[in-house]
Amino acid sequence: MRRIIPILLAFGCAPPPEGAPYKGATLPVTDVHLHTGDWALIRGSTQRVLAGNFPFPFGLQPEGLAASVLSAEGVLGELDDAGIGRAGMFAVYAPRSVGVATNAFIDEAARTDPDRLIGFASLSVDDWARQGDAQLEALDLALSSPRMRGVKLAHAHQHFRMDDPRYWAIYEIAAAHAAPIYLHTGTSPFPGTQAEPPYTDPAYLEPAIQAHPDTVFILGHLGHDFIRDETGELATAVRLAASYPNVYLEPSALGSAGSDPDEVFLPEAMEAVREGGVTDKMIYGSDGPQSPGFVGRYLERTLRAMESSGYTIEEAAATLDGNFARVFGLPALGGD
Amino acid sequence: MLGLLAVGSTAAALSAAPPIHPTAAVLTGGSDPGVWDTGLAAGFPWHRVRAQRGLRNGWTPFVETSAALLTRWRPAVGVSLPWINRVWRLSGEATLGWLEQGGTLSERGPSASLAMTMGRTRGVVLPYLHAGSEHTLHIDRVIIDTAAGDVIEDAPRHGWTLTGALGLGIALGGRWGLDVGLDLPWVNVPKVSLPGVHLGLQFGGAR
Repeated sequence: MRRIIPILLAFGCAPPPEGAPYKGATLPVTDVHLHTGDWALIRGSTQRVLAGNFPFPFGLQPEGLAASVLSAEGVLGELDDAGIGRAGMFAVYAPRSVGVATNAFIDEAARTDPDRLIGFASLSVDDWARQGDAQLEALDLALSSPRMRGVKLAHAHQHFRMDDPRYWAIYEIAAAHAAPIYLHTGTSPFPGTQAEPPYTDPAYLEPAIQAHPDTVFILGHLGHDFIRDETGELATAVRLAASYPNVYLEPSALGSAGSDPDEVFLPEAMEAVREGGVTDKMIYGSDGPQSPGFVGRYLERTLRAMESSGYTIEEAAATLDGNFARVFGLPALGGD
Repeated sequence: MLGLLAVGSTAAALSAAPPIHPTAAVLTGGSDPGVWDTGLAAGFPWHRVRAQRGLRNGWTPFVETSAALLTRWRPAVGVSLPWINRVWRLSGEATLGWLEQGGTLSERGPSASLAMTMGRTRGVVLPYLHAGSEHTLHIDRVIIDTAAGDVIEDAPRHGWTLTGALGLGIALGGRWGLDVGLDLPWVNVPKVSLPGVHLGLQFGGAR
């Protein structure tokens, strides 16, 4: 009998991930920012960036490894390895920069395990004058799926300004579905992206934030400048979160081994968020899976950054899961 | 039984110099004057082919091609010179070649390398160690699409790869041998590289 139990656990009856150890407690974790998709639909220049993250020799023929990591099953495996309970998965419509992962693809991927994979819909903003209405209709339809609970936008990747009111209908549709909007802020390391402030600086988003109090805006990457490897618009992001009840923060990618080898940026960001009194506005994300093990390593780095910044267990628990659950109207992990 | 006989009959071949056994010649550099030696290795991710011919005073020119996953190719010509050629063998070698890498991370350019190989003959076996440094000149081309037309910017980039291997060669008769080894390269420092393994076959002694 003792032998049967481990065998059953290995074949599909495994308990859910237990969470992350923090100051003697075990905290449940939600990673709001993961990607899935079809390698063939990722733009060549971005494929190079991603393949360059794979250890040699896997970067030479990255298709197989990328497919295994990017698939829904691969994402779930990464979550299991990292002890993470659930994750957001983003649709992407950025054919001029990073590529495309359609709403239908994300919805289907989330169907693999709807309790753990939370879909974020998106839309194309190209040729907006002629295609805008159709794209908004498609977004509305995508958000009618119970598996699609958020919206993903990236002004720098999609080449539209943060202060352009022609796109505000997107925010209204998101609010109608109670779907928080995750936005890439700061510059992007990928080729083909816009690096000017109107596309990257969250200060340009302030008029939209003010005009849409019922829309939740999650400022991804905290305005980090990935091109110059600088803190970027962190202070602006924290100010917006402190000033507006509908603004939240997310610290993904800026603390990775590639962007932050000396573990400076992520602790600095965590400290700024704590000093700004907005730890109740921080929603954890990694921007994985990128390469095998990245999701777990990013979580470890985040735990170290929170500890060095003096986060209490309660603040860490809110950052890792509680704030996400509250904002997305989902039960907290480990709760009832 | 035949294998044991063959190994037994060549117990002196690896430990005597000259004649230099093809396995020792290929793995640790330097063939006898006028003698051809060849080596072939297959593994993950590296494959290699090498042919060399000894000249006077130990100088041994060679041609070789290495390939990782049949995607990263480096054909090269080089020369090796044994500095110590007794029970202990120590050689230096230099190559000039061309790197051609296909796939998603395509890159190409002229390359040069310096390396040392070391081994010690013990009966029919030869533990060996290889360490080297390979440098490639890449030209990165950026094409900027402007209103006035394409602007092409070429920028040179230095690619650095540390090469390393350790393994064990075994004589199988006077003209044949094999080796098993760990490949320990660090490709495009400082990116992360994983080790590889290979099985090699050496043949030679022909004049």
